[in-house]
Amino acid sequence: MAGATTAWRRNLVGSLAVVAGVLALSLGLPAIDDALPDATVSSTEPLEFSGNASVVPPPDATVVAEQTSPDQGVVTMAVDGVRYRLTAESFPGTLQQLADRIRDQVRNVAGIQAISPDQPVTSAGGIRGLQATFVAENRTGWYTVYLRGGTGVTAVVDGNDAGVTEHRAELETSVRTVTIDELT
Amino acid sequence: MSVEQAAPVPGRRRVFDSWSAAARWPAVWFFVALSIAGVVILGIAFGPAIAESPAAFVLAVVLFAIHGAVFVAIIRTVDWLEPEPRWLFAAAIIWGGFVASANALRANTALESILVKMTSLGFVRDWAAAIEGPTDEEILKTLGIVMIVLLARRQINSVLDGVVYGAFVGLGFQEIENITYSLNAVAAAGDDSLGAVVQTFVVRGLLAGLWSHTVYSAIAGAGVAYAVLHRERSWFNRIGVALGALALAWLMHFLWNSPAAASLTDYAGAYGTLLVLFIKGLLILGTFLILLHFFRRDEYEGLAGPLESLRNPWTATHNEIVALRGWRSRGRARWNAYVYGGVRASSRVRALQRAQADLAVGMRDNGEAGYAARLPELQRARYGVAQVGIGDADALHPSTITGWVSFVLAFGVLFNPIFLVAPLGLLIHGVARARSTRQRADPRLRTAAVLALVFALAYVLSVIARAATLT
Repeated sequence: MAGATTAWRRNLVGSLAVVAGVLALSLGLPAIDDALPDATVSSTEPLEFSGNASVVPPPDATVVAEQTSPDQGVVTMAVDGVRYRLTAESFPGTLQQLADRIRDQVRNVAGIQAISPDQPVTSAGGIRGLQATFVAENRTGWYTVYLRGGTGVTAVVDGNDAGVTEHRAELETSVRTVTIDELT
Repeated sequence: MSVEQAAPVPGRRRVFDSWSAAARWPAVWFFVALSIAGVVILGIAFGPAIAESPAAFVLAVVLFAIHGAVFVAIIRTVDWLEPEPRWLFAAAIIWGGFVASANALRANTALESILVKMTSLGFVRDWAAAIEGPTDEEILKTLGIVMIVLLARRQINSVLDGVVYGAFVGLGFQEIENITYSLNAVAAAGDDSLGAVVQTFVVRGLLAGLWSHTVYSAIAGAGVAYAVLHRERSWFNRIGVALGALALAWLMHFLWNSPAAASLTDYAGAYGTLLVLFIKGLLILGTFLILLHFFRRDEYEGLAGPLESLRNPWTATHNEIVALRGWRSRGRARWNAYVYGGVRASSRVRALQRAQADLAVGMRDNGEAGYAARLPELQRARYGVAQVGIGDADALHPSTITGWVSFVLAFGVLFNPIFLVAPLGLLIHGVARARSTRQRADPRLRTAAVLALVFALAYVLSVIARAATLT
């Protein structure tokens, strides 16, 4: 009887230890992540967000780590509540096709009321791109796409009206600093 | 509280006497709860992708289930001397597939986020996979092996048992991860694309499948089994070995995921990339196979000892005990029986080998009681073998020039399927001749014929694939 009770207790203690180990990874790591502040980034140095694409972030930007995946060429920054997301990917199509794709994605977001026609833009480094503005209930933003050497970069800015209006100039400047190195 | 985990009853392989007996153990409840939670987490994470691409999901499940079945067959062959209970295998697969992979999903995401906050994006891009995967996944899978010990401690009787349970935990993880990667590939392709699934299957199933989670967790399982079995050693020693095995599993996983040789592939192109992958993979697999050799030898010696001690040729001759050692020697003993007396003789030798191994396990675990419980089955099997005129079901065999020639010609099928005629013809000729002279036949004749058939099948598939590509 005593042996059986001891075995049961050991089984309970062992099981609790295993569960604790699982929870430490499954809940503990996210808790540590939540406790850590988002990293601020320099607004003077280029930030490489993929193997061959970089951008100079706007002042006071922080990297939203949960929405950033460097191995997939995705970085999301936040400036005073305004979201600024850049994605670099291999894209075999044309610049217009890349713009059409992001336009479809934006159109499918709930609450979108209007999207302007695509306007040609050029980055500070001379890369041709397209840009369009969109408006939603209490929110606004714009997307910009660049394509060079089979690599497409998509930059999407969105946030509440006040935030986007206040930081538009520095965000516009940052979007223009996108560079894409041609892959050899 | 009067609960006692069932001692293995001689002649039975059940772990618990009944469901109600199982339900008294905390480990059973925690296992069930964590498994359900794992299914829910995966369902929430991948449910939308499955709803978006149902055909691709079904194809991925079918392909990787077949892939997993091949691995199950291989692991069962390694585990032949002392087969573990099937439901415990299933539990190991469920832990790997649902508990470990679901929680790894959360842990990996959090760890990557932490790395983004604490290091540079470039560092995360290059090293995140090499740090996150091994750290979170190896720990979660190893906890699964510990859970198997808690569910059925008495089923862990050798280090090889830990290897086997570890391999099953790893296999469950590997196949579910493969399916989720397929869904991600389909999402990236933008439609319910079956091509993306096939591509994932080729890359992850065929090119990278041999040296993946199954191998890593098998190593970790060896450490857990050592810690459980060697109670005569100090805690420091046992925990040290278990952690050392986990560290080796971590290192293998790290090596595979690390971009350490990536700069090499920049210059060498696609072939260089493949070469680096194969070198990494062979390093991992080679290390594992060397360790496996020693684990298998230990288990064999632990079982051969009791059989040899009987000194009773009716129970097992020395040659038969030697034949039990590995799948090749067991196969050769059955081959000898087949040449001598056809399929019936071969199946009876198989039954005798099973009965001998079961008797040895019974003796090792339960001494006299185990011997007494298993003896009737062995006597029936021995009688069946004696009936077909075989006195010694050994694995002795000749090496003949014809056997070697047949083996070499089998590779000719890779160039032209017409060469299939040679191994098949030599097999029929060799078996007929051996039967007529009551001699043994070279087992290479059989190996060559099987190889040639596999090569012929591969040739036919490649022709079909080429035709499909052209149209």
